[in-house]
Amino acid sequence: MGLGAIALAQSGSASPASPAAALQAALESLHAHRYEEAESVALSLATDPAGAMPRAWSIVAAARQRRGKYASAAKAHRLFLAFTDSPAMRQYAMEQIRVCQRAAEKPRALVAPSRRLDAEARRRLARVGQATCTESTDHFVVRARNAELAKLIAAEAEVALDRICRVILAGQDYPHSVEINVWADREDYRKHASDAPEWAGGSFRYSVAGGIATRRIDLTQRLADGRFAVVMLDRVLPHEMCHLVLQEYFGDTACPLFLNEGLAMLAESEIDNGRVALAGKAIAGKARISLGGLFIRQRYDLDEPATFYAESFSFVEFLHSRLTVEQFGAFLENVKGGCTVADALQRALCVPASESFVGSLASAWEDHAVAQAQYLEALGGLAAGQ
Amino acid sequence: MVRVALSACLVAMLAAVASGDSLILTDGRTFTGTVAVEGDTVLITLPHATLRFSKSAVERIELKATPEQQFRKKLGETALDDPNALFSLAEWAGRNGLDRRAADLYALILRLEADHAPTRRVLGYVRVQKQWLPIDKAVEQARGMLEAGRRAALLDDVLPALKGAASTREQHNSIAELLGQTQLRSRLFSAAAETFAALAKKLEPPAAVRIAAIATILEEHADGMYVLREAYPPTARLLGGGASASIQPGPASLSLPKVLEAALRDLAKKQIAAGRKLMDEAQKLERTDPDPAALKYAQADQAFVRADALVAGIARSHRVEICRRRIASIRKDADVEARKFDELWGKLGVRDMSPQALREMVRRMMHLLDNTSTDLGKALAIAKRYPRELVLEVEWAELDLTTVQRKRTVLVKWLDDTK
Repeated sequence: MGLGAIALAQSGSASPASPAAALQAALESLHAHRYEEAESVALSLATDPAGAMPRAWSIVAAARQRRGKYASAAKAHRLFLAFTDSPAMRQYAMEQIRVCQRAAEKPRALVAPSRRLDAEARRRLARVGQATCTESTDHFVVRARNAELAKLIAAEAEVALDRICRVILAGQDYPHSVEINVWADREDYRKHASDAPEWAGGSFRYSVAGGIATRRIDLTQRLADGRFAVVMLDRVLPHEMCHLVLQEYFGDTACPLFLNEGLAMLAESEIDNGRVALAGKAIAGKARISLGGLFIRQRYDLDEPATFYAESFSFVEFLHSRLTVEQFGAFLENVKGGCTVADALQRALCVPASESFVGSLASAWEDHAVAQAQYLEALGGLAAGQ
Repeated sequence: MVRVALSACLVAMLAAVASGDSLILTDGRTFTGTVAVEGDTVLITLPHATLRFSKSAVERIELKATPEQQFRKKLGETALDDPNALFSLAEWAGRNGLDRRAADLYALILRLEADHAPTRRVLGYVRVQKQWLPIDKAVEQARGMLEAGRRAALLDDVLPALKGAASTREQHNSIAELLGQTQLRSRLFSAAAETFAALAKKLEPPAAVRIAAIATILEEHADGMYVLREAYPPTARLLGGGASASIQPGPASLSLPKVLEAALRDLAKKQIAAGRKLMDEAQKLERTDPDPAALKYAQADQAFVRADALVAGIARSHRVEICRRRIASIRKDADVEARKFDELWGKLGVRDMSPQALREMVRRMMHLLDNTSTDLGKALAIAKRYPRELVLEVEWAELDLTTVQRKRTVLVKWLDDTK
């Protein structure tokens, strides 16, 4: 036991040697980030042959977890789990074991699929044959006039869907089949893809006719110069897929535009630094769209679409990174249930509604967005200086 | 004869003074009490009765000195530079209904000796940190001491003094809560649990709900350890400015105020979850069984009320949602009545009907308007509970009520004109 712990134990209500006082001392050390001390005191309590205090395992586990010792933390959580009867505590312990397991794994950086393709592979993927090849997976039926491309799109579509449902939409199921058509070029795409906007290189469609739902994504294989459109693989495919999933998720409820587009951009397989920089610059300058304005913008009143998209991405990414998976899921559920964005967030956080909430949220997000842009600018400056 | 005249004279004087304590009758009997004179009658009020005698039966009346007279006499005999002597006189004055004299004397004592403890206590002051403060300010001061971590001084000196000085129920309750908080922060968990449990019995909801919940939390976590399943405050990561001051998920001591807040929020969350479940059930029943649905909404509202008692305002938006749904349901009923009215309105002047039938139809239309008006009134009353959130519902109901009233006036006028 460290000096601090002894002092605290002595200042407590119980006698210095009492387990109750020692437990409080361990908690005090944990709170004060003195993790080694907390672990040591709690471990003595948990393993005391004269009268073990199994609840102390949770302190041991937390102290280890906060020091990054995930494997031994998980072990301590298991010991706590073995001794606790409370369903809430059992759930807590199991959650923490999963957290430790995830943290112990090396975090995998998000890499755009096109980065795995060399020049030869890109050349092959740009080829357009005569026959349409079909590739099927659990959720997709991909049609393209290039067998390798169909296979690649099918595999990447599954990866994107998993990321959208599990990571972005907090564990949503998507037990449906989607038809993906890859058209040779823009002209081919415009000819075949229904409702395709003039400027788009991809689109999605969800329709119900005669009781049958049709889910479809249309993509473009090649750029105008005939090269393989990597943007289709890295961005357009996950982006349109996210829109499709959201369309079904929200059903009759209108998903706010910033959220719909922000999530779709978040689903893309790499962060677009241009958007991050633009959002920061817009917020710091005169071109900013206020958070309140962002919430209510519709597609028809976008004076500055680039700023709107950049800010939408920035704000949604901010929310996604600052909320827990459960909180983000609850937020989406609340929006789906008809709440305003502010209400949906406050309900998800389970805090009393406050009129100042949107103002505080705006300032926190704006600080984040400006800092991100400055960071990118600094990195750019460093790169230029090298 | 002379004796009777004297007696009459005294009685006449008494009519003005109307105060005395001994009534001696001509037959020798003597009564002690408060004497009053009414015309030819002399009354004496005794502890258990009031006696009446004719003036002629009265030998004499011996008036006791009035409290004011006695006070002056005592004041003349008191050393005016002796605070203790003045204090005795002030207490006597207070006991004898001379509150103003007593107050003057207490003020005089404090000018002579500002720290005169008995006087300060009588005036409702409490000594906190060498300062005499009125009890309400002393309670505030004690709260400050709690925040400053001066728990031993609070438990040993200040809170017992405050308890002794408290006179109202509110003061006693505030001091009891302060005691519980001090015990809790001093890690005297079982003592704190007892204090909060006892306090909960003395309070009314919603305060009683929150205090009882604290007692339960402390009883269920007798070792003072609570395991947070998420960081607290929950807004710290999102809104910034307090991430370092937030409590991380995991075990923590209930002696930390934020941990207790987190525990109360967890209980409130359970109530909200229960309320949401009831709301979902109600929504399913709404179309087919409106009465059971209404009951479920009422039960859900009760769960939200309990949540709000635990954490103020935490379930407000859910309660607003119940109101919104109830208004929507009422609006549906009102729309049905309004449609029936519109149908009849459309028939006016189109169909041939006898004057009698026409009058009957107008009466039916008025009945429909009255029903609509009742529905709108109900909706308005519900919406006005949350005027900020339900501003559109309030405006809608008010506007429609005006329209309904206007139409009703037209129909009434027509009925009167065609009598």
